[in-house]
Amino acid sequence: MASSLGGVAAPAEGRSGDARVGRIRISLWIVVALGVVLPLLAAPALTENLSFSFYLMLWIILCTSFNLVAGFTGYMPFGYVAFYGVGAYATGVLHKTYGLPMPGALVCAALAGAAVSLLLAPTLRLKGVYFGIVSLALAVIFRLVVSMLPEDITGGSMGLILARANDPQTTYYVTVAVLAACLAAAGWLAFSRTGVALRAVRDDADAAAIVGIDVTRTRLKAWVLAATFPAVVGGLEAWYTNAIDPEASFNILVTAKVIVYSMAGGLGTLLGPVLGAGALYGIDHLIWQKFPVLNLMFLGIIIMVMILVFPRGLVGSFAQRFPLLRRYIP
Amino acid sequence: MLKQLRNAALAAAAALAFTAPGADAADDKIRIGMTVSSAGNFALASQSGVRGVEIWVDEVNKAGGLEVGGRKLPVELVKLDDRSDKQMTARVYETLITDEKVDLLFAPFGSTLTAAAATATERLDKFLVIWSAAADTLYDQGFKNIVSATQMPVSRMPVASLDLAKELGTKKVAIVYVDEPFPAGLATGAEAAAKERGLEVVLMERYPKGAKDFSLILQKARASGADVFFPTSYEGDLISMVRQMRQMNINFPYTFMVYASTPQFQAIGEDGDYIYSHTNFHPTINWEVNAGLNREQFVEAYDRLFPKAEYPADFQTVLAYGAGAIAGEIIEKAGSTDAAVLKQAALDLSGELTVLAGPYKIDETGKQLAMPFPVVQLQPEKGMVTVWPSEVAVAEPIFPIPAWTDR
Repeated sequence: MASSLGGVAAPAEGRSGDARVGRIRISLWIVVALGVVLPLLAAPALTENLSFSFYLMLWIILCTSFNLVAGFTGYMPFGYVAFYGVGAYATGVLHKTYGLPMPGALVCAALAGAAVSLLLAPTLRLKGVYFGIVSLALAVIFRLVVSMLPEDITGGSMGLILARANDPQTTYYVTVAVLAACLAAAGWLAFSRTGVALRAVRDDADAAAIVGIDVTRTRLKAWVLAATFPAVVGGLEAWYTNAIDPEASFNILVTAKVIVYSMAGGLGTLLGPVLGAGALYGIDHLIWQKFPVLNLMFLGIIIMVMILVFPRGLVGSFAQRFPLLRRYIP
Repeated sequence: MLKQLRNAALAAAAALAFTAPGADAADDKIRIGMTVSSAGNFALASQSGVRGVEIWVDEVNKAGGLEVGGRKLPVELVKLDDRSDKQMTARVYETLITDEKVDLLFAPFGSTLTAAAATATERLDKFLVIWSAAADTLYDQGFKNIVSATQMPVSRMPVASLDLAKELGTKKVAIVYVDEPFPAGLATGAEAAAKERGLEVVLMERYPKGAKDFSLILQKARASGADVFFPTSYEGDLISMVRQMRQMNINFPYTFMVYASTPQFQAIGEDGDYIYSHTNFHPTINWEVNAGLNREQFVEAYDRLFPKAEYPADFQTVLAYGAGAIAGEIIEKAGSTDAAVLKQAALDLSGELTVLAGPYKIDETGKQLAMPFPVVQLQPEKGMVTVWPSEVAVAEPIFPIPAWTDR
């Protein structure tokens, strides 16, 4: 859907034009990233309600990293929550059962996410919906494996309670740092040669291979990066709420929300997932607070309307309306 | 395209029109925050519980409110939806405290969500009344402001039934459980409770989920010489076990099955006779209450307030209602809604109160030590009757259970 976005400039402008457009796009992305990170950094000084901002960051990170694989490589991992759950459990088990301090546990969660992504790398050979189905099945398998591990390690279906690590303020600031890292990593991936290669591979893998792009390696970079951040986020969320169980950590809703938020914003651009996550999460929060009982129904209607009105996502529809501005969109 | 943009603007405007409520703290009432799960796995249990709390709120307000500092203050229940989602739970509780300015809170359903809620209430220093979190680990996390008003932890659930077993003079216990957390927790609790009471645990047998043939396990239990048979699995497995016990003519003087008190189990008919079980809500369970409504008044209030409720009151409703009645006493005793003062009042009242759900007693961590589920027995003539403890017993236990061949 987004294959024409963020593409190269019109041939007539030549190399210097390309470079100028590239610089503008990078600058715009830096402005957007700062515009997201700085207010969130200041939020704890303004309100005691950290949760709203915390989960906003969580969704922006998840959607941005999801976009690296779904938007930039064209794979649709329906089992994306697996990375999140593995991260949550790595953090919880290492901290609670093996007494590792939280920062160490989070680093291990990131490594666990990367390890799982490498383990699943062979599934990248599958294409389209087949990849999606296998990915979904793998998420279910991971959940079962976790629930079947010995209870004195994972706490079984009751899960683990980590309240002794309870420190929401610190969790919050660590999450801000992870958000900044995620936006930076996504920017690096999008604007680097790897980013160009990724889009080339997405649009036509055979052609990309012919011009000398290492297709497997390029995909793998995006795939591992896209798996590492959700694993860290899973760990951060475990730390923030101090409770994990297989049900909550491998909740299919996490994947569903990530897909809906990212698509509402527009996959394939850096801006889209950030905008989509922010907009839908914000709307969700407003109606949830206003309508304790019917909020899910209203949310469903709003999502339907949004997809009908902006079938290419907010950013995609904007680009379609103003084609001249398209190439400046990060 | 313009039309599309206009539509979009309308949609956005509609969304923005739902502005966040700017609730202010009102001094002339006590605001109590609570979550309700509109959807998801916990929806039924959560809504059952909320109805219990609503009965308490109705009762308090009809009486003019709670007496705090010489004034009668009505109670207002502020609810937000957690969708059975742990992430939402954290947001619900922070929003209730920081935006809705509630004075104290009732916990969500289940241990995971309660742990997430407690994280928020501890940070923002509010009192949290628990009615459904049974994980023992919740109470050794160092949470200062939590009190389980009515829900005893899993480890204590087998206590009443083993007290009765001991009283009846049994000596050897065979425990059988399916490999799932709740049954496993009950089994571990039963093992510890049996040993505490000087009973010998002669069999502690786990089997995988999905097992249908229990003949080997039943023979093992018989061979162990146990006079107490204590399986802690769910209804389906228990029904299979009873049928196979009959086929194989396996008898135990005392068989206790946690879920034998459910209508689903009792649908098996006379094969279920004489089996012991437990519950906290039954026409024959009537505690001598000194706080809140008794069982009859409670049932009347439920029918009056929820004539269209899909389900009748159940043990969740009773636990949540009881938690409300106890919270009311705690607030009046404390004369304040400060978390530390409330916690102290909760400790001071420990051992003093009996509500619909039973007697109330907590330790320093807020863990519930009393609220036993009374033991019932399925007696052929009388149906399900309460046989233990003596405060609520209405019939003598039939012991030993007659052998299959003598029925």
